[in-house]
Amino acid sequence: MKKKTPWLLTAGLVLFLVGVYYSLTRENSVFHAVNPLVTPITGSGEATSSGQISNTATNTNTSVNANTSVQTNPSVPLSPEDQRKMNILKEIFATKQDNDPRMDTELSNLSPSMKKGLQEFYHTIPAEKLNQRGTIAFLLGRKLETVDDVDFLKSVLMEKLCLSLADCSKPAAPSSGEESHLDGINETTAAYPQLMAIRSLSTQYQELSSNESANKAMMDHIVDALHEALHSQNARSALEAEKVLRAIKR
Amino acid sequence: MRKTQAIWFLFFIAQLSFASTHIHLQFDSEVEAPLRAQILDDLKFMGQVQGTQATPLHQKVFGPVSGASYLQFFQNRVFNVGKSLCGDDHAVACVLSLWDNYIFITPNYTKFDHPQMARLSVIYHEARHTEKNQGNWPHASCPKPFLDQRGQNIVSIWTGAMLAGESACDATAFGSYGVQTILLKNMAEHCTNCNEKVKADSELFGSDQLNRIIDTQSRAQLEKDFAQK
Repeated sequence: MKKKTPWLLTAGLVLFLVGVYYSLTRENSVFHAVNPLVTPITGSGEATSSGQISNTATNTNTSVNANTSVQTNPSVPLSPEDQRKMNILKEIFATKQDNDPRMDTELSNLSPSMKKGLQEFYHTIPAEKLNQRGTIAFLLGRKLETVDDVDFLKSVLMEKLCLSLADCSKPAAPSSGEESHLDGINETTAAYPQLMAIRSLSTQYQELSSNESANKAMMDHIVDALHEALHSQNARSALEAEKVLRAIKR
Repeated sequence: MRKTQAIWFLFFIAQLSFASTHIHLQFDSEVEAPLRAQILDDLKFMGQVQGTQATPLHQKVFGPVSGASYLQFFQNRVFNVGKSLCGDDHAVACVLSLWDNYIFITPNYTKFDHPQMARLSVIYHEARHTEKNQGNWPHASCPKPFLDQRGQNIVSIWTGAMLAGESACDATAFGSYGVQTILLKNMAEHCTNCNEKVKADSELFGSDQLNRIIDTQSRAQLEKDFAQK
């Protein structure tokens, strides 16, 4: 056994390394998405730092909805840099990988023209694409700097209720009993753009209120937008707006 | 005997290298490639999560906030993925009582544009329902009346149907809603390689599911757990 032990250990190590190699290259591996050996189906192919979840995806369902046409003639032309950012966002939407690190590294500190471009893009997205719309509300809501920024979120709050996740214009069939047990998730998604808008308005208000020299007019404008949400057909967003207004005592 | 031991030792070493990084799921042939790819992509994301802390209840249910913990939780419960309409136009996933360690995915998993964390929380909710030794963690009937924070009846925003009396609540912190909430709240607070959107989504959907915990003590237990930062 003594003589055989080094052989056993060596064989075990070799097998382990072979297993790791296959793990890196097989589709069902958690590392598949970050493996530089694998050609991504979509994505810019940017290298990711270790420990970051990759922006590549193996999802074959990567085609963007035919109705989701990016506006080719925006009222304000995008700069090359803004167009690059817009393309990144489209890639993220196509892969459905919400945790793409570029959401934070590239799609923040947006220029005024990029904000305008995103607002226009928002309106081209079908109403049923609630995560896409909500993501844009999230990105635009990260930094509310002007009255226009707030007005956009206010317009999101005043949108008609999406009547069902399959087709916002058609009422959902009723469900009951066990079937209704995950309707909470569905209803939150149905209100997702509005809930993201309320979250952004609330966060911005709290930031402003902690600053003595804050823009009071901007704070009032935020409160007005939240008050409008109280009249929303969407009970979920009306309730959320009420909670926020109660918390800020306005 | 020694040869047999040696062979088993080598086999074990080989399996270790696969097991830690491999998602082991059997898909029924009806599960189309795009649906399969989406589930695998979503689970791969979960498998790569990193965190530095976890609340006590998260430690109890999942262990640390880590991809390995999340994959282990899921794969200890779900061995097979099938496709079904789940008897509901809105359903994304379900479990069926006669099918052990199976979850069924509907086409809505990719058709509906849920945020990724919402999709994932649903399949983790369903994974909890596969635990036969816990009676599949059945839901409790929502109380009558079932009121929101404004004191109004909680109803479907689409149909107006009341949730009161429906089997759509939990009276324990450890059922499917509780586990879903624990997962989401810990992702929101302790995931160190999640972007801001994913953390915001986790917080949003986690708070939503907390509303289905109707037992006062269980709810207090969860709220106390999430307050530990």
